[in-house]
Amino acid sequence: MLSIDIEQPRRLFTVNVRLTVPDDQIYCLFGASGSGKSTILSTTAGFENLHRGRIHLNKQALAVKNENTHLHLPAWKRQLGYIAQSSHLFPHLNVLDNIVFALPGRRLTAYTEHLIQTLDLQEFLRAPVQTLSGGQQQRVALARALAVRPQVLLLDEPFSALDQPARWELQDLLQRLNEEFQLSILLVTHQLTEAQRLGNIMGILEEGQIWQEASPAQLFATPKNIKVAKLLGYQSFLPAEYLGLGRGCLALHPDRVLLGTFPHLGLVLRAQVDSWFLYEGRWRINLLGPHSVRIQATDTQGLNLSKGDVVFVTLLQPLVFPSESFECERN
Amino acid sequence: MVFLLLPLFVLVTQSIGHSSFSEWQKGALEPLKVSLASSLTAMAIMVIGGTPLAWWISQRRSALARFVEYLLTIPLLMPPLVVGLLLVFLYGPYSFLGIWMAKVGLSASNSFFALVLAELYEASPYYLFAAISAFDSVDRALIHTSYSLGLAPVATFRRVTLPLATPGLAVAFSMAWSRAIGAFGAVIIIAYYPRGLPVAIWVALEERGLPSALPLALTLMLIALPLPLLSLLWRKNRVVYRH
Repeated sequence: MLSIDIEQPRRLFTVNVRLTVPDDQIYCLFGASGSGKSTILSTTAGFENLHRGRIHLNKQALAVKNENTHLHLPAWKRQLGYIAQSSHLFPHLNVLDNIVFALPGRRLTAYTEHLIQTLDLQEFLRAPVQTLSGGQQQRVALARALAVRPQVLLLDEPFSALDQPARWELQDLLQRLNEEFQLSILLVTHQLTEAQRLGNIMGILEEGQIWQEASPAQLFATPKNIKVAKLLGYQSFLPAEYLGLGRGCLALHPDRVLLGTFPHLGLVLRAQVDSWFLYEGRWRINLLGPHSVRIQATDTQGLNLSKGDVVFVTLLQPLVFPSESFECERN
Repeated sequence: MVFLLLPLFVLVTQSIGHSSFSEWQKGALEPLKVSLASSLTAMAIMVIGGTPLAWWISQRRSALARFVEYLLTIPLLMPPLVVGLLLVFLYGPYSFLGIWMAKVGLSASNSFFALVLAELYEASPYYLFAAISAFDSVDRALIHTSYSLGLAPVATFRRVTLPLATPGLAVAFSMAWSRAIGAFGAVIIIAYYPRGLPVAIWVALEERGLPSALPLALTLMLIALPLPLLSLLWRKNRVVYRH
């Protein structure tokens, strides 16, 4: 179990987080670029000195900094694997030499051979690393990091430079590795789908603070405020009073509304089609609702709509934030 | 390019036309031996002392390292003749250091030691700056990766930093080599004797005229040039695979 409780000043804000990566679980830290994700990882890995706080791996202190104690275990003694966006393979070594780089005697073990098979690297072992694709390079980086059996794997946006098929394949692989090798992983990403797919726990990081932490499904169902809801893909925000629901704000996710040409039962809004775009294979329709409020909805039924068409939007599980009507107006 | 290479062409044709092997043997062999011995000694000192210094500066962890890097530009920019004059003041027989060195049997005036010293002063800034840049070119992320795999700094230096900086260090060595073996400004002031090739060329030119100096000049070119050219070629081939 890796527990992190740190305060790291940055130019625009202070990263101030407390989180725990449980054994054999994937903790996904999700946030926009510049929210402090990489700072947390590089401090945990030992590449940066801790300003204040503590980092523990099980019962061992990796770094402690307060008025009385100043402990900094060097990066090479922390037993934490680290992989960044770029695979950082050693360019003067071939694939095999990269994998066995830190092994005693630089010799393959049964465990490493098993890793190589799991990661499907047998064919490339003698190849110079420059000849590999981005996805293959990240697989070699994974094999190299896992070969030394780290207690926790720190992954800093490891798939963000890859194309969609490679990213999909590696996400799948990471899940398999997590199950097969009982890995504890701290993964930072700015991609919502990646965080939701891989994380057992997901932490929303913004300006150096964890705003909310829960399982991805729980987070999606109950974001604690409008800002978190927005980060989780909620696109439309309606003042509740427009629906006669008193003060507050309604948050709608495009996939959690039902679009139709006649009203369904439930909470229904009348809206007019304004524009549309294709998103991940489905049409997203921009609508103008009551008081010209903008609503985004996914057309799941292939309605073949035109600009100006009148449609009915049934709200499925809308979220109400009672005390955020002001924020709602601004959105 | 023709403009730049024309002097070399003239040097080769004129040298071959105006001298025989026995003449060359008579005038150039001894200065060649002196130049090779002194330059190799200076290079050995430079590599042993300069490489760790260059690595330390390239880390730029302290203000002192950045200040030292800044200070090093002074000997780099200083005219060699001025360096020679200052060396006389610093190491000459009546200076504090000169007196102290005399006690241990060293003389920094017209001696082999003085020649090595002058070559060191002229060439080492070139080695240091090129070596700093060679270490700079090693991606810090690779060093962090090595640390995260459990390798301590010394092992990381040996297995990551040094192999990746080697092409750059080879260029640094070659540049410094051509500066050391061709050092003249500081050498003529502090180490007229024992006579190395650059001073021998000057003396031949003064005493016997241009035709006598040309074979010596050709010899100097033949020793000074191949190493830098080869190392540049090697570096080019080594670097290609990274991209």
